[in-house]
Amino acid sequence: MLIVTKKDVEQADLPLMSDEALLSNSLEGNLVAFDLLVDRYYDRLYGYLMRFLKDSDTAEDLLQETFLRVWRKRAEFKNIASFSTWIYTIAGNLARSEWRRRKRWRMLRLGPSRSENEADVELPDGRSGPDRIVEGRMAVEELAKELQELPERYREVVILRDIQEMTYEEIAGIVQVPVGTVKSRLNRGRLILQDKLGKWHEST
Amino acid sequence: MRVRKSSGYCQLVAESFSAYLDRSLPASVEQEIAAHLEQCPECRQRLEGVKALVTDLKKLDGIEAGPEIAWSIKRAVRRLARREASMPSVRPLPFITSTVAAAILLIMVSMPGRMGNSPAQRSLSASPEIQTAQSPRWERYVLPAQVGEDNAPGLFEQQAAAQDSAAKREPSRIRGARAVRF
Repeated sequence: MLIVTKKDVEQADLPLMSDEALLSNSLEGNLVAFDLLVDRYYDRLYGYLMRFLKDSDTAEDLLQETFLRVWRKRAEFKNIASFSTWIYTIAGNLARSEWRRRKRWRMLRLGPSRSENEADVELPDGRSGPDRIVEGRMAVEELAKELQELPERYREVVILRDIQEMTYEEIAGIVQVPVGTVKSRLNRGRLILQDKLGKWHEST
Repeated sequence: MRVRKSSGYCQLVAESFSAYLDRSLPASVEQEIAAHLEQCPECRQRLEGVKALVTDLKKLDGIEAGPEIAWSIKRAVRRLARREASMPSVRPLPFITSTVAAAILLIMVSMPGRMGNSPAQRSLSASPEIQTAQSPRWERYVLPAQVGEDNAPGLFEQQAAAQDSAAKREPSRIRGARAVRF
């Protein structure tokens, strides 16, 4: 005879629970609840980190570190923000730190290079125009490359809005700036990208 | 409606592209931009470029992490959870450490001028020939076991000598203590 315990019923209910409820379950050491949070977020966060850093090894490391920090700090989570905003904030902070560390390292090795602000005002170069229109996968890779070269404050909002399709309010929570700033950064980031890809950029 | 057209105005329009595409501008501003776009092929073209860009950016959402990454995260979390479970609570430790440190400090302060701190002093007072009742009190507690009990004054003998000398100064207070001598 199959005996179903209360614990079995609770475990069966876990997939239906909200992120916040799963985190609350994991507070009591429930690793199955935490596994579900990993399953829900690892793919999305990996995409975010990959687009931010364009390095699969570092993205994997930071992804793991994100979840370890969530586990360590799970008792500190306050329901002021959603779990999604919270975990993206942790991942974003890690990614930004890593990016700045790399930038410092690059500057040490290569000497002073152009600053991000210089990149902001850069006009479309001679490469712009129909020559740069490539099709299919090449175009996507070109776009990914240009996205990588966007200043970080624009890059993160473009990734979160246009790739991860988050709301402005969610992005404001993650990046910790007002919604108006998110909107202006998004617009600016798109214009820089469009200028770099050329006036004749067309959807492929 | 009068349509404004200048490079400065075009830049202003470009800065509102995202809001224009989101339809989040006030109706009057939206109409003004729409009118400008009809008259300005450059701005129109630029807006079309932004639209195409947004469409293309969505195509970048195809990165898959693979299940092995999820497994490796879950394993790492389990290792951390096991480590946390096996570790004793570390919270009381700073309190205990500071209490012990404060007690040691208090003992040192209560014996001014009687601590031989230099190694030379310690080695001198450690030698059985020189060791006397005048040796620093802390060495009297430590040294007998190291130098041999035959030569060094015993711990209780020293305590008794100290109490005797104190009793001479304050006989009434020490009398009770003498009653418990061994």
